[in-house]
Amino acid sequence: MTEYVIILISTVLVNNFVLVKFLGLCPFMGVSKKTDAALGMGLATTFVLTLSSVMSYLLYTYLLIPFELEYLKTIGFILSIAAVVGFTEMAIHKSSPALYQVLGIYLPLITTNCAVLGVALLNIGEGHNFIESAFYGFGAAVGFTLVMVLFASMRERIEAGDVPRPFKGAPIALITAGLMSLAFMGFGGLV
Amino acid sequence: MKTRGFLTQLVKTLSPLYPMAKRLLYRFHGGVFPKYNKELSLRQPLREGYIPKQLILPLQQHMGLPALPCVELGESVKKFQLIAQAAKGLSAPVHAPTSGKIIAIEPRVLPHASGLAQPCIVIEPDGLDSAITNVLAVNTPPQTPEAFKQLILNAGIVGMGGAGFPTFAKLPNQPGLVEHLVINGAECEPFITCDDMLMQTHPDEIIRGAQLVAQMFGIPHVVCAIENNKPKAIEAMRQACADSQITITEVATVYPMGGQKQLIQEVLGIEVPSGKHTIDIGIVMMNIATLRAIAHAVDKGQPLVSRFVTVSGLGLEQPYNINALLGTPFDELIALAKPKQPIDYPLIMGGPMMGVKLADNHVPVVKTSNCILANPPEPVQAPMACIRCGECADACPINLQPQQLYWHAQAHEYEQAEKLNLFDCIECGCCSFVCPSHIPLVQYYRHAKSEVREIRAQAQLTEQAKQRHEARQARIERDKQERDAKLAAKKAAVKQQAAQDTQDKKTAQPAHQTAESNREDAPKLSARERAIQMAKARQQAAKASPEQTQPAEKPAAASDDKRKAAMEAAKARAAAKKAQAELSTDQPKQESEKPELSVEDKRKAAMEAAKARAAAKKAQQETAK
Amino acid sequence: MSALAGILIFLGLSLAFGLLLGYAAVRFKVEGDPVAELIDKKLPQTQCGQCGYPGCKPYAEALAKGEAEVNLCIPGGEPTMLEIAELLQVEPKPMQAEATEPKPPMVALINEDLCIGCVLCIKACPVDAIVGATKMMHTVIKKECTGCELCIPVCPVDCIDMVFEQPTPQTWKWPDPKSAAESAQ
Repeated sequence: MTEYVIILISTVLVNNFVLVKFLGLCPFMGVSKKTDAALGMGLATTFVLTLSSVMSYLLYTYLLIPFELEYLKTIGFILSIAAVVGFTEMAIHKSSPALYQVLGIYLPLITTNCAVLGVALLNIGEGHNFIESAFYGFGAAVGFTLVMVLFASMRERIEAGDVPRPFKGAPIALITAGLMSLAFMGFGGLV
Repeated sequence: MKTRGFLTQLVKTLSPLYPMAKRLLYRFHGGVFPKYNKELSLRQPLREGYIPKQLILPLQQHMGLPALPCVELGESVKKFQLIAQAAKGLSAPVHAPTSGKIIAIEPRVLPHASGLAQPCIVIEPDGLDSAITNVLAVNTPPQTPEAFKQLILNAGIVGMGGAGFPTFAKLPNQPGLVEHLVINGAECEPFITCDDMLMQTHPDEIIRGAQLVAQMFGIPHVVCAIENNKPKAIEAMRQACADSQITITEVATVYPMGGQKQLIQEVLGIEVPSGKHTIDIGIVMMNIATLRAIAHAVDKGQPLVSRFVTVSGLGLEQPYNINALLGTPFDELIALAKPKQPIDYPLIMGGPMMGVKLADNHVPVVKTSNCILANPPEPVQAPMACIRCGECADACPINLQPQQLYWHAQAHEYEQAEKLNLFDCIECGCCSFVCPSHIPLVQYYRHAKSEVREIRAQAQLTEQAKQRHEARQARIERDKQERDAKLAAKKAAVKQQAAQDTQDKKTAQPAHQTAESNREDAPKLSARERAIQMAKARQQAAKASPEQTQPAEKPAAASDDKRKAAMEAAKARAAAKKAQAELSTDQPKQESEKPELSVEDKRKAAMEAAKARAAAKKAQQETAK
Repeated sequence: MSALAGILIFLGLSLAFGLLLGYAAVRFKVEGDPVAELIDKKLPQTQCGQCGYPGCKPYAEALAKGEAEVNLCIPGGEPTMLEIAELLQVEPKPMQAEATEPKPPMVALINEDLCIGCVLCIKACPVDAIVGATKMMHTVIKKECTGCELCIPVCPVDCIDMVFEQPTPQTWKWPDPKSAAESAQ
């Protein structure tokens, strides 16, 4: 049990995918203008990440290894990720049209979110078993959601603030992201 | 009690070092301690009986709908006479404060921050002050809550503390629903002493009003709260209610102690939930002046025509309190107080904390005016950037976050401001008072509130427009269907006729009949189709015939046009004939074989009819030329 | 052998995912157009037809289908255009010249001395805000008027004017202290 908790803490805080590993920066900058949208994006990514890390594990262990097709893993992973994202997109379109509109292009772009492929590849690289893979994917997604919501809240607040003109918009957002990243470095050594 | 005494002592010792220690002495959060200057207006005795040259009575001196005037221009009115009756719903009537002549019913500038003009009744007093006694026709005190409320409404009584909410609407319809009656004698704004003066001079009438309300609505607990900086008023009130169940409570002197929610929390320890009215939790709060007005209405049958007003300010030689007739212009009252310098600056209506600067000083005293302030303008401190010191949050009596509200209000993010309970703000001005950067915080909240209100109203209007548009679309659709149905009914009549015809034909041609009856629905179908065809043909013929006759009727028309029209008509007639011919010969066979074809025919016929119609119109236009 | 297995496996996988997505497409089929509803909410509902569509809803539907430009709503002006562009994730387009400044709300007013009672304006009003009968004087229900100006061209005697709504103490708005401070500087 302990190792699962450690995996969770490690992926959420210490090795946060966005702020420490710098994966998935595209939606991090793109969908963080509004807290609601950021939370929606986080939840969608959580769903996709957890499911795709499990699926890619199964695909790798039970299809690619027996047939000695390990060298095709990237294609296989992308295939499964794309399928999950496609499914999620349809589900969101049906259940929450407003969120669908807000997420816009970033929703199908989860497919190319490097965090998603990164998790699948890292799972293989670190030799995780099935449950570990699931926890690793889930933890990564929770970490992603956490920083998305934190960052979006900060951006909402900054929006109303007196930001010097050259720093308005993206520059101040990047500075904030950098400071957040520094802050998350502080978790190093926790695990 | 002992601990309280000890605490008071401790705070007194501490306050020179740490003024905010005084906040330990009361129950609600925040609050400020401004310089009160109350003694200014208490030096002079109460003035009474001043009758100005003109009385301006706005039709709306209260929250809700304006009253409707019921007097005419030039009419002579007596004191207490009804001059404008309450509208249906939330409203209050207006009565004549003295006898005189109606000289105008026109828009005049209101004592309102907007400086807008609204309809007012202007009375020129005759100086006789002749009154109608018992104008409200009260012979015995009202027995039921409904009658009591009706009497209060008829007397035009509204909340005289400032909001101007019609008092009858505050009260329940049956006894036993209210647990506490809190009498508001706190009067926490600096400079204002009119309630203090009223309590000193007429404590018995206030207590009488409170007793009437308590008896009528079966209110078991009646508390009168007075700030402890008014010892004379407390003494007078104590004496007046010595032999009643009303208790007088001294409360700490702090601004805004007189706020409804603050005073309830202080006196009863109950915090009124956000978005709820006090009546929802069984509490009614009334200002002392309101209670006195109730006593006058019930005991003497007198409506509300005058009120106590403080005329004060640093720019006046002799500030005073007056029992002013409603409608007395502010500038006349100010002139009586001997201004130190000519009043060329805007007066303030209300106190220095919540009052508003007037755009025009010639505005009347209304039911809610408690103070007229003449403070010479001081150099305004330019607002600086917010330094996030948090003083405003400490001072806020509602426990809001003024600095956050300010950020959202100035960035026009009204949704966010609403989320932070913008509408719970009582606009008391504590945050602006303590702000070291001199940011006019309350102005921001007022602006944000009116923006949000407008947005809401707009959304409602939009929704309404949408609904009305949809209703209209639905109606047009329905009308069309009804028209179609009528047409169908007409066709059915024709169909019967046609069926008769077929019957005849059937007897003539038995071979055909058998062929037709092979298909069960064939006769019905063909009959209907034929009926349609016939109707179309008739329409065509009808279209064609006026065309034919119209040009003929106009001898002035050119022969060319005539010929053209005639040709058109002939063509149309030919088409009609053809359709008819088709109908009588090929129709039954065609129908029984190919029902789709008939549709085709129908369209063709319709097209031809349309063409004929267009031609007729053209011809007509041409002849008209 | 391995290459063949790879081809077969990926073929199978693609087929499986294809079926899954096909099922999802049927299961999560979206009826109607929720986006059109959202856009309709943003439109001012004047039903003026200045966009070239017969009302706000048809315009919203056209927008949702991507058949209309975002900058056609003249009463809504630039704020509405920006909102729609944000909702649809498209580039905002500049408004036409006459619509850059949002006009203050106006309502139609019938000059009752001139009205001949022709009922043409009643037929033209998209929100039934005009009351009257044939050969009787007509009047505009101020509260219901959306200021669409559709009644003005149809009036044969030009008796309809657009008037500003006068603020009352109830509708009066406190000034914005920020803009006041800026203008003072």
